Amino acid sequence: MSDAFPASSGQERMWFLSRFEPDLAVYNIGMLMPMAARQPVDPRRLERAIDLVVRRHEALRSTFEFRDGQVVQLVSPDAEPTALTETDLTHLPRAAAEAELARLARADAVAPFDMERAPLYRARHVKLAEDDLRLIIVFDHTVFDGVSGMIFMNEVEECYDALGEDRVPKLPELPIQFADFAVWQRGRLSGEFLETELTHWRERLAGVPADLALPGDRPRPARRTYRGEMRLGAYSPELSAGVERLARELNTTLFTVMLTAYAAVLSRWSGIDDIVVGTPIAGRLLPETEPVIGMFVNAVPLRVDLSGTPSFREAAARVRATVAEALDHQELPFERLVEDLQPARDLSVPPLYQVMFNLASGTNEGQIANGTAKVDLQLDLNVREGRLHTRLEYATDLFDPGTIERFEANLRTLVEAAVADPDRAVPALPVLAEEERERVLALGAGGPEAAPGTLHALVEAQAAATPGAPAVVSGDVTLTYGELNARANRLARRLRHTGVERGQPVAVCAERSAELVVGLLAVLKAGGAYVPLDPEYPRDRLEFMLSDCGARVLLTQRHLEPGGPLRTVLLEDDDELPSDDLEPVAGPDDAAYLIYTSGSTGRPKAVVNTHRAIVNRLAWMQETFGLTVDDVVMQKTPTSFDVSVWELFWPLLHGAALVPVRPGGHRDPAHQRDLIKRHAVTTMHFVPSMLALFLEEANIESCTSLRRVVCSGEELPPRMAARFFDRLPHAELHNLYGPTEAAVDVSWHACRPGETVIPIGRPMPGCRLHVLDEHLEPMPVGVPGHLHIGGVQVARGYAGRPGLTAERFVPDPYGPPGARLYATGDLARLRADGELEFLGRLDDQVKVHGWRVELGEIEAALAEDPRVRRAVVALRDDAPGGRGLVAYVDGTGEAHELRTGLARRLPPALVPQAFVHVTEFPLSPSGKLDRAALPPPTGPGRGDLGTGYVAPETPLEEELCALWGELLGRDRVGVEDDFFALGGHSLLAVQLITRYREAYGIELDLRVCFELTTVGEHALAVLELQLGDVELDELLAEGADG
Amino acid sequence: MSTKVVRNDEEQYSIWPADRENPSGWYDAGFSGTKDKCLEHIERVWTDMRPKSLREAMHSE
Repeated sequence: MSDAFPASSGQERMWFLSRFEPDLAVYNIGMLMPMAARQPVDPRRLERAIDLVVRRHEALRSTFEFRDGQVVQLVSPDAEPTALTETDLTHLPRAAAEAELARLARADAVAPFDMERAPLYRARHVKLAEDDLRLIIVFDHTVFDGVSGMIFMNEVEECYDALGEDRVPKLPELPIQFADFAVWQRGRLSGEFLETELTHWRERLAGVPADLALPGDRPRPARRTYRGEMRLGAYSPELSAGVERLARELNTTLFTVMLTAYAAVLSRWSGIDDIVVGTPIAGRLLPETEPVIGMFVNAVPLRVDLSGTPSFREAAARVRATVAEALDHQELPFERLVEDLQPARDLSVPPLYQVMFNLASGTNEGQIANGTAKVDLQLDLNVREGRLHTRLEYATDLFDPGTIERFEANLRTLVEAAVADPDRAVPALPVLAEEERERVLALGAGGPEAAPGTLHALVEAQAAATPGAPAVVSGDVTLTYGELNARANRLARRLRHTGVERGQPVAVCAERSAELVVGLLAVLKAGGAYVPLDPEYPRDRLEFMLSDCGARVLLTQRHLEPGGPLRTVLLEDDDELPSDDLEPVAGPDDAAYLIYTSGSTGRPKAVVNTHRAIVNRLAWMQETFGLTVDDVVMQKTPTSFDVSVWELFWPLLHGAALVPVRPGGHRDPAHQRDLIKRHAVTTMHFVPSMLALFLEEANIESCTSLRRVVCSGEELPPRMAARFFDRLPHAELHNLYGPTEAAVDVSWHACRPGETVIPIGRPMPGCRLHVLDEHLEPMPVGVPGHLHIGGVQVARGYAGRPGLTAERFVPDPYGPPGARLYATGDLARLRADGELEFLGRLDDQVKVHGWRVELGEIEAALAEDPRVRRAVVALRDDAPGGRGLVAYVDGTGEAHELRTGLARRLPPALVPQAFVHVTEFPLSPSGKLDRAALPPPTGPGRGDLGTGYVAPETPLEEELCALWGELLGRDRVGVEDDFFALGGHSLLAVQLITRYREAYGIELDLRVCFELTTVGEHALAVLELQLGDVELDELLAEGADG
Repeated sequence: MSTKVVRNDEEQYSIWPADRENPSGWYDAGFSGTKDKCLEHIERVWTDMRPKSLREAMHSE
């Protein structure tokens, strides 16, 4: 008969995980024992040696059960004699035998244990040769730990020798067994001591980031799989000695130095300077525990503070203090801390810390990887033969091997730099080796600049080449190239007479029309730079722009004429003036246009762009797409938005026809569709918000002439691209990126069907795109940083705003002498394949309940629900329940359905507090989404959000409410109350399942308890499980009757 | 005093950390202070934002 003892809290946690992930052996400990000194090993003697060790340690005779609401360990007085699984590999060549040994070791380590069945270890001996027997032994962590491994190896070897020499093994007496410790620990962790320790850790860990969120290769799945891999590395003897020397110099340990370096790299990768790293602690403070096998190990969080730009020396001193303090409070079991600080609710993120660090005191050489990872990333260090060996275990949910290889290289580079100069500031320590730094910078360079030119000279050349070809087709008006050029020449002369001179801004306020095209071209021919003013803009804004831009002449249409102090030239007037080309006035470095962008401070600013910049941009487009005289380009973007510059001038540089949509037509997908069909349009642009509307328009399949669609201005969601390829299978889709401050676009990606992430692509020729840190040093591949743009397309600056210009256009360390970089304010990262991913605005990142949240991520997840046409998520102060996320959804599906769908895909913190149905999204004048204009989340959308009491309606719901109330110690539970919000946790969930089994004879999956969390949902689940049987019975009954 | 005003050969202005070496082609413009002070200074002294080479080309016409 076995004795029953309560399990320790650490054992409880592992037991729970084994129920939760029954197919994964996350907490198996596998060891490969070479037994080199005892070859040839006698397997029978080895079995008896193991038996002797098992007889000594109760832990190796323990199993676990769930009894009366708690996990108990059952210690059996005796055990079956060990029978090694035997595998003979002597028939294989040496290399093949070694490979097979590794495969066997992994297979043994991968298989989970049944916690209710003894023994909780398995052993195999593998015969590589007659005189070379190896032992593979795998334990369940619930009865074992790292120190146990060393005890086990030593004892087995001693017993083996003693058996051979026919003597009693010399082994220390065991004053206690693990279960004694578990009972003692339970008593110790109560009352004042427990409260003191909890208080310490609560204070110490207040406000830690909920997720370090290391940039990975994939977003976090809603439920982590614990699958993992590992990567081994070793530092050179010189570097290893350097680290030891640095530790002595800083009067600290190797542990502290390497933890500081590890945290520094984690900080660089995550962009966070508050890093929580878990570390295992032997947990054998009592001397009696030292010779005992069992699960004593505990984990403590080490909160590393790298804020305020400390030197490495200073950071190491902080880490040393942190470690010392943590050791003083190491007795509180990790799971008690988690329960207290972060009730087990989130299945996506490892709780409290996502990364671990360990310096193994013995050797970790024989550790067997088994395809799991306990946290996102764990660094194990081990010193052997004068070298520092690294082992990085990582979650394959998040990381690819190449990414971890880069992490390892980054860490090594930073360690080298810290060894060389510990007084350097941590953020200034390099993580990229020189060669890698050069490679990363080169990936950002887009190739040589195009031949310089001016827009008007290039149009003039085209007009001379194809004078009779249609240039602008607007309604009933068609202007040939000859007519367009002649008319623009006459208007340019009129502008010169009016006083327009080289470099002067000329305001142009006109509806989309052939006249508008003439007007813009004329301004350039006259030597001026055009300043487009959208007639749809509010009058105040137009007046501000007119006075701000410094224009002395306004070119406009009669019906828009404002009056006022400016000299006005009307586009409708066409005087008798010479029609031949003017003597060139402006050159490539003169300003071509000034376009206003909204400023974060609310006051718009005019960006000055040169001919050289825009000509380079158009040269890329021509080289890439090869426009011909047979092409027709739709012009629908308002001139105040810089996409219009390529829409207008690219076709005119290459003999294609330009088709302006009618005024207001840029918002009308049906009009656009008709226009495409009428004029056989081949090329057009959409802001993704507008593309979404177009893709839902009826009959766009008939737009067979459409060859290419270019997107820019907003993120292009993969789902929208998929919809595009679905509805317009014969057209190409291109994703472009660029700010007004760098001549429209600087990078390009050709979309392919099936992409799950749509990057912004590679830099265009003449442009350089660098992802930099705050010191303008390049970020490693895959790590987010601030996107900077260099090269020929960088704008001159903001007209009349020297301070702002100096702030955003900074010295370029990577370009020719004196060059400038434009700091975009965008967050991006460089992928290993050289393409860039846009990650949002630097200032747009929001924080909800301690989480860094990218709204785009939630929007993308919502948009994958087939009921959702489009979704926008905003952080609002007026969300129900206080500041939080609100989802605006265009589509069908009740809020609770959408919430359930999201809860399956995203961490709880990313699930919006409220869902609001909308039929359209507010757009800014340029067609972009206007988040600020979204309605407050009041009215019908919040009906199901409150946590108010909702009475049960069915007898089953009543029973469940009563059952929950009893289990959770509450007087009254409502149908919509959340199990976890009521204080439920993982073990209670297991109890709940037991109660359901007893009461209803059903087996509810534990995972379901984490996905369905209200009484109402449980009632349905219970009913479904019961009904499954009923239906079967009924069918059988019917069959019998018929 | 962590930031300084710098200027290139085109007489374009920008800012740079005071304790760091200037990138090639950039020179100290003789003013340092907080970032805001530097930007205020630039707001006063950078009166013609056209690059110097362009200004000269226009004068020689």
